[in-house]
Amino acid sequence: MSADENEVSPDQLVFPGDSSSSRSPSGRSRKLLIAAVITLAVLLLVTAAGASYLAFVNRERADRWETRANALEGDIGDLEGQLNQRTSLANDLAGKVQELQRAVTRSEGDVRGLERRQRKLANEKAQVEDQRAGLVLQAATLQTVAQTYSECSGGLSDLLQAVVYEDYGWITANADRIVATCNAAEGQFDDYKSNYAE
Amino acid sequence: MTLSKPGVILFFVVCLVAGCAAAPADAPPAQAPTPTIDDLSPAVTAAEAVQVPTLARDSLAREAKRLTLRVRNIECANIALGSGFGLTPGLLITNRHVVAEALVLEVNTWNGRTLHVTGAAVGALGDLGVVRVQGRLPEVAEFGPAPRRRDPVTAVGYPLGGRLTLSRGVALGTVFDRDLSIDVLRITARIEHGNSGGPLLDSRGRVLGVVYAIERRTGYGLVIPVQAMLQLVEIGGLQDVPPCGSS
Repeated sequence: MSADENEVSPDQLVFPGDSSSSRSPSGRSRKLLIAAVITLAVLLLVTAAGASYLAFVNRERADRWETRANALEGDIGDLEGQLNQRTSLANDLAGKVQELQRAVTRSEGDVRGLERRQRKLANEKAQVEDQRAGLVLQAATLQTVAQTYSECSGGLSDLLQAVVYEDYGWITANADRIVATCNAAEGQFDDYKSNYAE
Repeated sequence: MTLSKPGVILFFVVCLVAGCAAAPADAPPAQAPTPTIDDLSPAVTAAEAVQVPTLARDSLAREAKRLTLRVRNIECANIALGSGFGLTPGLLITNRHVVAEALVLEVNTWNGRTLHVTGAAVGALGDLGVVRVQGRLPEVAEFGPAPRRRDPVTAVGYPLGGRLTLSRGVALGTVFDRDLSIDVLRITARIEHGNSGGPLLDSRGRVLGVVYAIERRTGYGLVIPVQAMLQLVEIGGLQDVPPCGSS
């Protein structure tokens, strides 16, 4: 053993009861750093695992959404086609309705014209029926006058015959009646003329 | 203070990893295209342009004309003309003086049909007559409420035996008729001989009464109200038509 080897520097001396040598600041920091690194590594591992899981789930969800969006896009396309088709039908129907409206308006005008014509004809018919009724009354009155004149004529004929045969008794008995009949016929004829003469 | 440094680093690392994990794996699908509905507007415009025309069938004038009838009374030596309206499909109502002393009664409809009369009667009270016809009348009356003063009214009939005429006016309230012993309506609508027995209508075509006379003093038309008409028939009943030459 050399002298150097037997010599101990004051720096290398460790005194009992001096705990400052085992709790040096650099040693504690290292331990803490190691612990922190280990904890960090574990946390990173756990987080990475969780993140991977979430990524997987999100991917699946995104795929499902994409599929649904595609399906909906297809439905929208179909609906758009149907809507356009129905709109086209509605346009056709609207056109037909307008055409029918014009036809109804024309028909309404025709109906009004025909009704006007019908009322005019009905009025003419009623007037003709009035005239016919008047003529019937006139004919009935004339028939009465003619009947009375006929009775008058027959009476005068009988009276004339009675005069020829000098049947004065008959003449006395019937002359007044015959004259009255003839007067009545004359009166009826005058009434007729006053009622119906134009 | 030495412990907080790794903690802060850890916090940022965790936030970074969590942020990456929360981000969507792919970009969201492209937005679906908006459908183009190019033909919708014309359809709406066309539908709005459709307006149903007023049909003559629905008009008051046409209903009034269908309802009102022309009555021809062939008496012993004269022809009397008046109006009437359908009470039931086979029965029409008119005035007593229109059907009185009839040898023959004839009824014409607005469209020229002549209906054969099978029977007639007159009201014992009031100037009312009822005629039964063979066949079906074109229209029957729907009765309306008594009009108020200044309400618009329309008298329908065949004035002077001429064309079917609608005469418009307003109600002027009631006046007491001594002969009939009832309150009757007074109207401004022009009334002529031949309007007798015709209906007085309100603005909805409902019958308010029977036209029967012209007030000499004023020239206003007089109308037996529906309620009075029904009461007169109910109280007095009906009797045979006065025979020809009875007056």
